[in-house]
Amino acid sequence: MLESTFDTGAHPTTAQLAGAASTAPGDGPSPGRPATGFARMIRRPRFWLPAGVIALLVMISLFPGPFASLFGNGDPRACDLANSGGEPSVGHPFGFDVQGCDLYANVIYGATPSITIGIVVTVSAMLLAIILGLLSGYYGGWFDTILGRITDVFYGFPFMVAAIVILTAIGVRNIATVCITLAVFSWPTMTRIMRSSVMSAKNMEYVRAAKALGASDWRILVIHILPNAIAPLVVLSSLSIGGIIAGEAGLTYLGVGLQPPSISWGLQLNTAQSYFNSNPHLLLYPSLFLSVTVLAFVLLGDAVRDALDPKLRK
Amino acid sequence: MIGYTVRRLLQVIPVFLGTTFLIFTVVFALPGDPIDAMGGGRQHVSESVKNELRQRYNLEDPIVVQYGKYMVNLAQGDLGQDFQGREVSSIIAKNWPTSIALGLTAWVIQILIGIPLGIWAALRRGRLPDKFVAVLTTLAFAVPVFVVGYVAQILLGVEWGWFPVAGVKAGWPTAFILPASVLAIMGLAATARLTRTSLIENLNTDYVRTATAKGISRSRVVMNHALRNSLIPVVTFLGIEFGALMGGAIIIEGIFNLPGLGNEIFKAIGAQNGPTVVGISTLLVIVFLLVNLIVDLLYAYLDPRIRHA
Amino acid sequence: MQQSHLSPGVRTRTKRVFAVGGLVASLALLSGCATAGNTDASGKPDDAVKTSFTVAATDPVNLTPGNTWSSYIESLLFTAPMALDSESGEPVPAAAASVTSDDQQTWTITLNEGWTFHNGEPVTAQSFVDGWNATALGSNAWLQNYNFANIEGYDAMNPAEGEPTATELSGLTVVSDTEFTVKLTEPYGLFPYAITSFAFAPLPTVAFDDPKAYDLAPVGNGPYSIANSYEPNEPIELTKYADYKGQLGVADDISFIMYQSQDTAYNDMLAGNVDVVYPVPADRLGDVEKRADGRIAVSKIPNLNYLGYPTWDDRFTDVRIREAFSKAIDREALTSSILKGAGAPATAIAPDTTYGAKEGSCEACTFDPAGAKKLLDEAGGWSGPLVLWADQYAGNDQILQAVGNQLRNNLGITEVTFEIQPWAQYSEAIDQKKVDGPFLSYWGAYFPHVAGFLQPIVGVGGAVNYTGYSNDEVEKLVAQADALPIEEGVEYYQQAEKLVWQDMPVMPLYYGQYTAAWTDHLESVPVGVAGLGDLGTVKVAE
Repeated sequence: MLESTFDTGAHPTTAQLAGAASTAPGDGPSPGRPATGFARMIRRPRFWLPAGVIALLVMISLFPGPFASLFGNGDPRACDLANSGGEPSVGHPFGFDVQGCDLYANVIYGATPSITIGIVVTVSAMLLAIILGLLSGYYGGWFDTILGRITDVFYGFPFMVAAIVILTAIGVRNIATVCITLAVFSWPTMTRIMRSSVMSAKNMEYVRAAKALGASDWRILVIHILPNAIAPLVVLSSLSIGGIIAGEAGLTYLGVGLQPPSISWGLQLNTAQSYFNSNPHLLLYPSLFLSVTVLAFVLLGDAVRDALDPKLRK
Repeated sequence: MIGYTVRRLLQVIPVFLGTTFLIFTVVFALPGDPIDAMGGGRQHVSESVKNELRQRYNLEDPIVVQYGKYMVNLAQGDLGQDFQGREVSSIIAKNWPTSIALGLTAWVIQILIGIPLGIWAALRRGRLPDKFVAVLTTLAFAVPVFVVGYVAQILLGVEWGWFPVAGVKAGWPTAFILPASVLAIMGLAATARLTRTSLIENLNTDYVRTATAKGISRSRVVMNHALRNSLIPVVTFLGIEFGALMGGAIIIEGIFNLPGLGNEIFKAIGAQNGPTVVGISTLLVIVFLLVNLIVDLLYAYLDPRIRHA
Repeated sequence: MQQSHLSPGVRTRTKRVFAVGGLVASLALLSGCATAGNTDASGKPDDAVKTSFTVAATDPVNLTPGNTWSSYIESLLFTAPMALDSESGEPVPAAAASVTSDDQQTWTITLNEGWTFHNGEPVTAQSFVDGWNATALGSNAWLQNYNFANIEGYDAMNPAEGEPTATELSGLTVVSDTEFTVKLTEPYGLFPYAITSFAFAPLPTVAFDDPKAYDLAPVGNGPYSIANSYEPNEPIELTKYADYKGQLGVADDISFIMYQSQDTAYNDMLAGNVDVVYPVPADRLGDVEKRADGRIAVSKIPNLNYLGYPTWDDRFTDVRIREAFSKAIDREALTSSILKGAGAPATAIAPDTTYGAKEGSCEACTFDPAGAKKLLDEAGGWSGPLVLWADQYAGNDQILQAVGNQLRNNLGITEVTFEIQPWAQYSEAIDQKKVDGPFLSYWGAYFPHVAGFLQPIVGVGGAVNYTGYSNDEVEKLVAQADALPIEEGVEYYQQAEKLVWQDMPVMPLYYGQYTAAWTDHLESVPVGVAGLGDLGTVKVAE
């Protein structure tokens, strides 16, 4: 079920598996009852702390301008080679990058692609997984067989290699193409999880009862199965956002992800490693922001998992 | 069991063909002429030489024909030559041992540290050790591997001189400890967490409670009953992890300059050296499918419910 | 006689390494340089202690001289007819006793007497002719094939379509064991420069008996012979050839250790695991001055990094636009910050260490933001987006961004984007004229002479004339210069360069400058126009 992606942590299963008992191999899905867990969850600091950080990051990524201007030099593209690699100074708390641009403004603007990619990839893969998982889990048959083989093919791909080749082949490296590439490798895991929890949900008695009462397939799927089968997917998805963000940074770091003039943490790290000896601070700030972001998503995912998985509650 | 095995084996074939064909298509459909990419724009190569090379590597055939020729050769154990005239099989023979050494070392580290950490956390659930392990494993997921690798290399390798900075000259295990540890971090954290949750679940099951109620000592309950059962998902995870680790690690091998498959395939993609990319990918796919197959069969053996699913 | 061999491989491969690999770093706290870990390779205890040292290299893949880019190893295994003097950069006789011509079109090469290959086979005129023919034959697909394009008979061996109709260069005639003549398609006074490359090495008969085996362990005519057989990424060991008739090597053994990244090589040099590293990564230049004080040298490899203008794009037809762009670039700032000193500002087509180059001959290459803005306004200003192009070579992204920022700041072009593509896609885009903005290019000349830049970059059919520039006057002057001996031709080349700058088809940016460093295990390492000089002269410290 897993892929060779521990190199980058790009793959959602990495985080997902880490303690997500509900999604561990062979461990059957455990459709939860979201409502009660949720209410309890949001009151706890281990939820609202990372959630607060994420909310702040989302604000930053939506409106980088005001945040970047906090110290008076908010234009990430106002660069002067005379300042190249400059030390922190008044108005420039992080100093300057090699191009002589304000590093703080660049790190702030770097949040946008990371957050966007993390969320867009996860949401689109999740939607695809819901549709395919419902269909193949509920109806089974040839559709299920073919889908199973297709997901197998995507599993068989060495993720890093495939992502590098695809991005090289597309040639255009922007947020959209990086999103597509990451999504291509995220939906199979999610679809499998969804499928198996649909399969166990459809055997539940009230579903059988609804069927016996002559409810339409559509109604059964949307009203009865979906709410009961979606918990494991939600857990997996919330855990995978961090992995996706790290994956984007990893690909960009290798030089096959985003490209200038995009501003992203991956790009900043890619540059920083070439200039590490002369300007070590270039490595520090983007990796700090990147790590905090991934950390926040992983913690949030953990909290969601605990809330939704009754087995782990006392 | 036999029926399941056969079914499972047959499933591997279309997946193998599908995967290799996809890789082949994508690699050879890369825009631009791979022969042009040879000099990387820094070397001049005459047109007549380029034309000759294009013919030698069947680059003028349609993709499907190229794929067919490739598969026929592959069936005979021939992975072809790269655009520099090197046998792809000898490239793999040369580079794979490094990746295997790296992967195995990382795998052993995951087992030796991950499982005990997980047990410790589970047995001290909710107390300090549990929280400590939770923080540690969360951090392991949060900090990107290339940041960890780079910082570890600078601190432990360059500044403190505890480990060789890069390369494999120091041999195994000296040269592999640092890169393998970095490579192991994520899987280690996953192993620890998985062990923890799985063990906690099992400690809460009826049979463990019964055994405890019967007056069997706690350590015996844990060792004989709970642990054995809770290791099933961990073993599965480690099995698949093993397969993944065998395939090399692009970033780690790059940072620590280890001449493994990851390094080689990354260079080959950059140089559009299709035969190498396809050859190594094919190998990775085979390894992955085999390991998956074995894990599935093992799992079916351990847990009879699966066979009939 | 000082020998040093220059080859395209040397320069081109070592370009702009400041970001190559770039994965390994060191802080200034690594304990001082240990002495090199050389192994005294004496098997017999009664032998005098043998001297040896190691050199960091990249995997050569092939070792047959006509089919590799690996110049340092080849230059020790083989001796070409001529060699470049490491200091002056002028061609001096090596395997040849003399290379002469009356009309610059038919050249007579007289060989030194009594030379032998490492297996004892005499080096004859026929050995050279055999080697050249094999490399020139298109169907062999050897990498150095292009070197022979101006020798008569090349076309028949390299037809545009179909199989070659000849297997030998008709322009080569063996006169005696020690003399042969070369007839060129056009007069070319710089021929002595051209044949300093190892591509023009002789091949012994064993090379044709079993080419595959030969490629792994070539038998050459150079000062060192190969002691082991090539294996990918394994060290290549060379040992002194005692019967060499040129200047004998100093050290007994030289080993080349293969590295994937220059940073690793540099760190290994600091740790004493390899003796010579070239080039030092740009990010480490500040570091190396402290750590290897007195054991570093900057090479004078002739190269140019420049932006070509897409002449097919209407927005660049006005020469004032092209000059304005060029004047808006602060090359000093670029080389000192982005390149960390691994490059020098370019104000001509070739660096002034090149014969015939004149620093400052490109007047619009001087930073003049006010003048640039004025020129741009006169030409009607700039509106809309600007795209800068480059291939994905390490560090190109930073160069392009710096250029983009300068154009933004100094010309007010606000919307600058970048297209950075793998080489194959990039070159295709140039060929198909899809490139719609200035594009980054690189040229490493085969020898340090201004003509080695002119014809390839701006000559009709030039190897890297991607802009498609053609100027009849320039062609005429170059042809005139080509027909003259080296000393007489140079002024016409210089006139041609002046004409080129009136049109400004390309914008010179910087000359790459590369630093070599070595351990205190060695007394000194010659560094010059070929990067590393003749490694055979390197003395191991007592």
